[in-house]
Order: sequence, then C-alpha cells, then structure tokens
Amino acid sequence: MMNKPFDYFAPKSISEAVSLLKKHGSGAKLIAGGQSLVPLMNLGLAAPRQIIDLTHIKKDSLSYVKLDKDSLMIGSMTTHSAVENSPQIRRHCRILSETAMTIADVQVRNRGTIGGSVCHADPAGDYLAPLVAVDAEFRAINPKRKVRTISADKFFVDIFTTALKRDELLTEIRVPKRPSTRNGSAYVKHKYVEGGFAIVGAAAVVSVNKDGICDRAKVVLSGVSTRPVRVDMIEKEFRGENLDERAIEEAGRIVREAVHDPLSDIHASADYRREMAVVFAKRALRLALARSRKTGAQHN
Amino acid sequence: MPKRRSKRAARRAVVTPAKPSREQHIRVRVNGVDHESDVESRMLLVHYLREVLGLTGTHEGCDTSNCGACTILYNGRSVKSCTMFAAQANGGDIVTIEGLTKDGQLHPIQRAFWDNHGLQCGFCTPGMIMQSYWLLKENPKPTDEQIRWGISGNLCRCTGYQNIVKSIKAAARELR
Ligand SMILES: Cc1cc2nc3c(=O)[nH]c(=O)nc-3n(C[C@H](O)[C@H](O)[C@H](O)COP(=O)(O)OP(=O)(O)OC[C@H]3O[C@@H](n4cnc5c(N)ncnc54)[C@H](O)[C@@H]3O)c2cc1C
Ligand code: FES
Ligand code: FES
Repeated sequence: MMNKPFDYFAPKSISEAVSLLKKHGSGAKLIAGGQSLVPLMNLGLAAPRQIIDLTHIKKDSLSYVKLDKDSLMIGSMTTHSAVENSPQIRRHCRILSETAMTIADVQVRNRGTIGGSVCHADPAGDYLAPLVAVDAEFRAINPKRKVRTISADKFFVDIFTTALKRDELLTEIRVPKRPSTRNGSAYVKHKYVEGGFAIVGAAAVVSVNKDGICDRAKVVLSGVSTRPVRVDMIEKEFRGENLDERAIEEAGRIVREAVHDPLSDIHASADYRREMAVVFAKRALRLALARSRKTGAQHN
Repeated sequence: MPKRRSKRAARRAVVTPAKPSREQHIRVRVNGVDHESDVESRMLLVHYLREVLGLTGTHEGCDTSNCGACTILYNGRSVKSCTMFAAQANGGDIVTIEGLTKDGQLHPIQRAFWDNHGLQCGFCTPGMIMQSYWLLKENPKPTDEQIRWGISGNLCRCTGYQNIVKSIKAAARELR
C-alpha cells in the first residue's frame, strides 16, 4: 500500500529535531530505526503528517555507549546490534546484551534502536522488563533544552504509551553500575519462532552476600500486561534469605499472584500467559542466581 | 470573500517552505554508481531501487520487515529496504544483488546457490544472498548454527533451508 504523503525533515542536531517537533505538533513523528513505525505506516495503521528523521543527526550525539564512575550511558539511537555487541554493555549490564540478542533478526537489529523500542512501548517489547529490573533512568530533552530524568518504572505508562511529552525527545538511557561480583542477572523469553515477540519475557536481577544470602532479588515481566509487571513481593520476601530451590518455587507462587490480569490475544490466552510467567520467572531467577555465585567473573 | 482567502493564502505561504518537503532531492551511491533523483518523501527505498533505478533484483515480499526479500547493504550493514524511505538514504552507499556480479561473472555466493540447489522459485534468493554476503563478511567461518541464526530474518517458502545452509557453507569455503 502507498503511504499517505508527509513532509520529511532530516535535522542535523538534537535541538533542531525538538524544535521541529514543537513546530509541527501532534501530526509529527520522530523516526529512529523505523522498524516499528514504518511497518505500521505501510500497513495503514499510522499516517504521520511530518516525519523527523533522527538518523542524520551527528552520529555520536545520540548513538554511543559511555561509562562514568556510577553509570553506563547508552544513547537512544544505539542500535540493537550495538547493544548486543558492545563490550562495555556486555561487561557492565550483560542482561541488556542478552536481551538485544533475542530481538527480531540481524537486519532489524542493524537498524532498530533501543530508544525507538522503549518509546514505542509495545508491551511485548523485550527491553521493558530488564530496564525496569536494573533501575534504568531515561533522559529526555524538550525544545527549551530542559532535560528531564524519568525512572524506567515511571516511563512505561500503558500500552504504546510513555511518560514522554509530545515535544520531548529521549536522548539517553542510564544504568547504575553494580559490582561485578555477587551480582547476577538474566533475561529469558518465551517466543514461538526465532526472533518473535515475547509471549512472556522474564528479567531477574539478584545480589547475594559473601555467605550466599540474598541481598536483593528482583523479577520484572514483559509481555504479560499493558506495562512491565514488577513482582514487588519477591524483592521484599527474599532479602536475607537463602535462595534455594524451595525459595524459587515460592517465587513462582508469588509471580502467579502478581500476574492477576494477563493479556489475552491471538498468541496466547490469559491463563497460558500466567502459567508461562511462572515458568519463565523461575528460569530467569535460577540463571541470575547461578551467575551471581560465579564470584569474580564478569557475569552480571 | 476572495480577497480574504488570498490574504490567508499569502500568510500561509510565509510559514510553509518554498520547496515542499514532500519532495526530496537525494544523492545515493548504488553499486558504485552515483545517482541523483527527486523523490516523494513517502517513497520506500525498495521502490526507489526497483522503479526509479530499475534494479528489480531486490524483491518486495511483505513491506513490514518480516520476510527479508528486500535485504540490501546500506552503509555496509544489511538492512531491509522496505522499512526505509528513499529520502533517508540521502548520502548513503548501497549494494544490491546486482552489485555482486562483476564483469558478467557470478559472485561465489551466487554460484554456490546455483551449484547446491539453494533456490527453487527464487523469490527469496536476492535477499538471502545479500544477507549471506553480510554474514560471511562478519564471520568468514560460520558454523551451521551461526548460519541459521544469521539468516533467521529471511523467509524461504520453497527449499526448507537445507540447501541454503549448504550453499552458504560452500560459498564460505570458496571465499576463504
Ligand atoms: C520483524 C520484526 C520483529 C520484531 N521483533 C521484536 C522482538 O522480538 N522484540 C522487540 O522488543 N522488538 C521487536 N521488534 C521491534 C523492534 O525492536 C523495533 O526496532 C523497535 O520496537 C522500535 O525501534 P526503532 O528504532 O525501529 O523505532 P521507530 O520505529 O523509528 O520508532 C518507534 C516509535 O518511537 C518513537 N521514537 C523513536 N525514537 C525516539 C526518541 N529518541 N525520542 C522520542 N520518541 C522516539 C517514534 O516516534 C515512534 O513512535 C520487531 C520488529 C520487526 C520489524
Ligand atoms: S519486503 Fe522487506 S522484509 Fe519483506
Ligand atoms: S526459493 Fe522460493 S521462497 Fe525461497
């Protein structure tokens, strides 16, 4: 199908891009990798009046991976392929590389971006759960150059809806650095075909003390609800506990209760999603725990 | 009444740029040849390649980044040309299936697909070969699993993939 005509802009800088957003208002859309937006347009499900292309902005102003003392910083235009392969991300936030690997296929990962993915906020989007689990923060800029920081948990508001205002552009995702020892994380995904969207995606982040006792255990789920589901009870229940197989079974029971109103669609019924949420949350926890126990290795 | 309308039209003329951005002037290098064209902003890159440049080797199967038939190399990386607008490619360097043949000689990957029955109807083949080209550039000695993983964004409804994997392995040996 032929798309509706639109005006195309290729700003060279971030400030030019946000001024265009402000000028054109609600009919305008930013395009990052185009891997969600263009399929929607080609299917006739979206018809922006203006397209503001972020791919011609000076490369390292939105596409980068940097480190400082406390955090890992990822530019919003960093592609899924770059997230998958970046040595810094692999070292300091392995769960994100692991997540990027499960998205779609090589060509889509070569073009699609982490920023586009979170701004699209598809409930089945893979990055949602891990970013909430690692306490990521999102930075956005508006036409007055005001920078706003939003926690991942507050960023995802509803299905395809984020906390960004209409004239805000996401510039960066920050992840707090954690010591490489006694921290483990994992993302596991239930999908029907290689590269398919998550029926359920489970992210687990675990810290243990030197006696193997749990300091922190977090489970967040993608795909089961209109926004990522944080299983708060697990965070509360397991502090100070020994995370043995019995505790993991208990975590499964907590997940079952936390997923009270799962999505139901052509891919999976609500009951099936709830069952799979339990199975995959337990798998993610076991894997994160095993990694946290490999002291000294770069496994978080 | 007519007077008022023309006044409003005049005011509008100040805010809209003289050259409508619904049309873009682009320069692209395709298979080593420079092209300059005026395109509608909404024109997909796959349509530009096929309809404006006449490079019909790049196929269009789905328009939604699913099937991989439209795979090309854009600035050195494999991408699906159905989810890029031609206007976005301004200043870019593109390689299509036509760019692999040199002096009428098939590229070793094309030859390997031929020799190993890596195609039946041929619809997926140009995209499959462009993706293989990228895959072998990144990883000259892939395992079977790495090949299958690398072409997982390219759908083939005919071959069952066995001979495609065989072709890519044969091409890898040839290229080493
Ligand atoms: C075949 C296929 C399979 C896929 N499978 C998966 C999968 O398994 N898991 C998964 O998670 N995803 C999957 N995706 C989606 C893919 O990850 C997309 O790349 C991603 O959802 C959108 O990123 P993008 O850079 O392509 O954004 P675009 O499509 O360009 O933009 C998406 C939205 O975000 C907005 N936006 C983009 N950047 C910014 C910014 N900086 N600030 C504010 N708003 C912005 C745009 O205006 C638009 O509304 C798949 C896509 C395809 C085509
Ligand atoms: S036509 Fe581009 S992926 Fe199918
Ligand atoms: S040969 Fe027919 S689709 Fe692949």
